[in-house]
Amino acid sequence: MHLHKFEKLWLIVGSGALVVFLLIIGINAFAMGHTPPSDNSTLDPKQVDQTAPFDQPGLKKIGENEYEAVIVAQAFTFNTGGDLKIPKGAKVHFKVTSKDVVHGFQIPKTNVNMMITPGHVNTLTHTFNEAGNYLILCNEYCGVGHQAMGVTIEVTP
Amino acid sequence: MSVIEKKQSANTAPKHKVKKEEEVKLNGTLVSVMLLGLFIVLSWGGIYLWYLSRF
Repeated sequence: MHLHKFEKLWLIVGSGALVVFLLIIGINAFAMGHTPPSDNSTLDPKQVDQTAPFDQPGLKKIGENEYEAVIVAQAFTFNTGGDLKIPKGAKVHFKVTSKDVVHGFQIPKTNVNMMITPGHVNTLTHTFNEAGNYLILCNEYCGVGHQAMGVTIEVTP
Repeated sequence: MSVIEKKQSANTAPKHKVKKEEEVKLNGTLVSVMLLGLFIVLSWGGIYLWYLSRF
């Protein structure tokens, strides 16, 4: 088969770009731990209130400026067990599940964005490097009160 | 297709009988393909860096 030299050139460039993109994604996933927001554990969505750690939702300090936020999503609120107030630079491990339908969990202007599926524990970690108020909102239509579903995290300087 | 066939016959036939076929000019196509490629690579890289910057 005869190929023009330019055709060879752009086939090489195109295939090379594809290989580079896939390599970057592969390294991200396997070496840097950028995985989908799930820790592979399940629970009975009807027993959320009786299942640890969701029987006591809230913010727990687990290390030097490191927190675990256990949150239960339900129509049409996030049960955070109280105020979410953390100092600047805090690393927060979000652990979220749903009691009823599929909800969303997004903090705009960060990479925190996950789907909260009932029966699954969904986890994501984020470090809050800037002070201010951050909104957690539901971005999966979950019913008539969907637009009111949100809570605020306060990051103090 | 006809270009390729002519080219192949040119290779096998005695040289003095067949005029050499000119290569197709693909300069414009190369420029368009590379511009499109550059756009794809820059958008991909830009979005990826943006994603990393928000950690």
